[in-house]
Amino acid sequence: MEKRDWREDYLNQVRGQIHWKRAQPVVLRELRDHLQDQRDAYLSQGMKETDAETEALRQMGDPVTVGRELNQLHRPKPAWGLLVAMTVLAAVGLALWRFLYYDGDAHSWLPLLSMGLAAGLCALTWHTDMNRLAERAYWLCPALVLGMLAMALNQRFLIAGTLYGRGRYLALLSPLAFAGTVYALRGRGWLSLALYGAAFCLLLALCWGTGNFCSVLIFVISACVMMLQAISPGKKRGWRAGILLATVLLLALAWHRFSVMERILHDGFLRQMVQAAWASSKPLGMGTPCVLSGYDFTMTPQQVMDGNFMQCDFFLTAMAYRCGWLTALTLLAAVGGFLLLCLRGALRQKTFWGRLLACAVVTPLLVQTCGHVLANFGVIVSSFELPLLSYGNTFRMIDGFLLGVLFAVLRSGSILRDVPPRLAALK
Amino acid sequence: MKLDKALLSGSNALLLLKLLEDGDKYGYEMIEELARRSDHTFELKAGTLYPLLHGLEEKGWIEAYDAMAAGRLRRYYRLTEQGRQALTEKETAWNSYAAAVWKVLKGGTCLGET
Repeated sequence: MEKRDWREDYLNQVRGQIHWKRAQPVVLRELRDHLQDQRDAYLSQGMKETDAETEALRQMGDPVTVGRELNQLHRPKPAWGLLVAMTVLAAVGLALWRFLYYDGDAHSWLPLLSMGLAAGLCALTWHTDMNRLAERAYWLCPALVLGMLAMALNQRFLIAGTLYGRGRYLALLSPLAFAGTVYALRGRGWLSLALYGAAFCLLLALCWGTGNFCSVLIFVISACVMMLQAISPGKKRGWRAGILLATVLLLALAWHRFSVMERILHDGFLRQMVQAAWASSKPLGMGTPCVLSGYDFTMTPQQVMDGNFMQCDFFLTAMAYRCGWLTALTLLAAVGGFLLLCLRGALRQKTFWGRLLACAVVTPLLVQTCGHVLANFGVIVSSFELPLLSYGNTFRMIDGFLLGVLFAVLRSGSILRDVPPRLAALK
Repeated sequence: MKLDKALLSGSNALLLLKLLEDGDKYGYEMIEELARRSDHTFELKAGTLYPLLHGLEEKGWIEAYDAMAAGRLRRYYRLTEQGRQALTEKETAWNSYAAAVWKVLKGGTCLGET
């Protein structure tokens, strides 16, 4: 019969006092190692094995007291404030759709279903063990690449040969996939850098393939922030400058490429329409009617505002025209405030994995919002939905999932631990 | 010489921060080092050490990481910038307190004073 581990009785008593099961293995591993060290030290002093074990256990102190004290320190830290803010914003988004756009059509249940699924995804991810995810972080990138390739090979998802439709939403997940790569492959010097570069190029190619400038913006900026995180603080200034310079050059290239594409695709129509809608809007209430000139059809901004497209990518403009620019700016400020709270939570992360995950959620959401604002003020045409408020089913579910990841990181608090690089890669 | 526990409990954090000022250490190493430096006056129990370390980590004064040492995975602790500032403040406060106690014990005159 296998001999029972001499430490187990003590550790089980400590375990019994720690109520959060996920914290138990993290805390007990350290105590187990300490007992081993203490016993080895006594053995080296010439003590008998049983005496060394007994003395090592005695030196630890009362297991119940130790367990109680550790229990006080290791408890889940749900970000209730953020959760309430997210729920309120999502409810406002749904209410705006219901009162402004609902016309009783056959697909009217879709927003409710997508909201339910987004909430489900958020709750599911919220309860995911991020320490376990860290051990399998290297799977994130291949999983996303396969998903995007599967969509690219399916004609249903293609618009003018690009993944501009639903495929572009997967770009929101690309920072998470890159975070997994950065974490799993760290600690190997130049080989790590080469593998980061390969993953970056692959994900960039897929985001570029969406034909949406915002997708590229989301991935490149998030990857830049994560690479800056990966470099030891206070060291390698040249590397930091190089990463920032490469990011700016890449974005300039993308801007040039996509502004040409946007002119071909839209011929400035959307930009004119957006500008006309803002010019006709009032501080509160419906804007004054106006007609776009220079086209061989007559369409008032009011008619355009009722389109699904406007409720998604041009939500802010539609709100300014339908409810007044003051209302639109208030909603934008509410989303901005929510994202700043998310950013504050992200900046408080102490582990590398926690910081990377938080970055992979907050940066895309911030860039998504900035992209929406830029498009809604006529600077760019390819846009993304405004987080939580815009109408849109796929993006809502992906944003729900991403926010679930952030909540899981914040909830984990002190038990989120970095796996040593070699183990992370070998497991 | 064993000290009254009440005397030691308030200064545990100061002692641990001071130990980490010289370099990263794991729990067992800290207990050994503390005992060695104090000629076995301060013999901290592991059950006291870990809640204290986790509390300091929560405050952001120290941070932990896993690293391999002698073929085993160990949890090391290091002082953060915030912890370094806290250590300076605690050292100043302790020195004032110790000087005041010394003054009282010596009947109102501190060593070196005339």
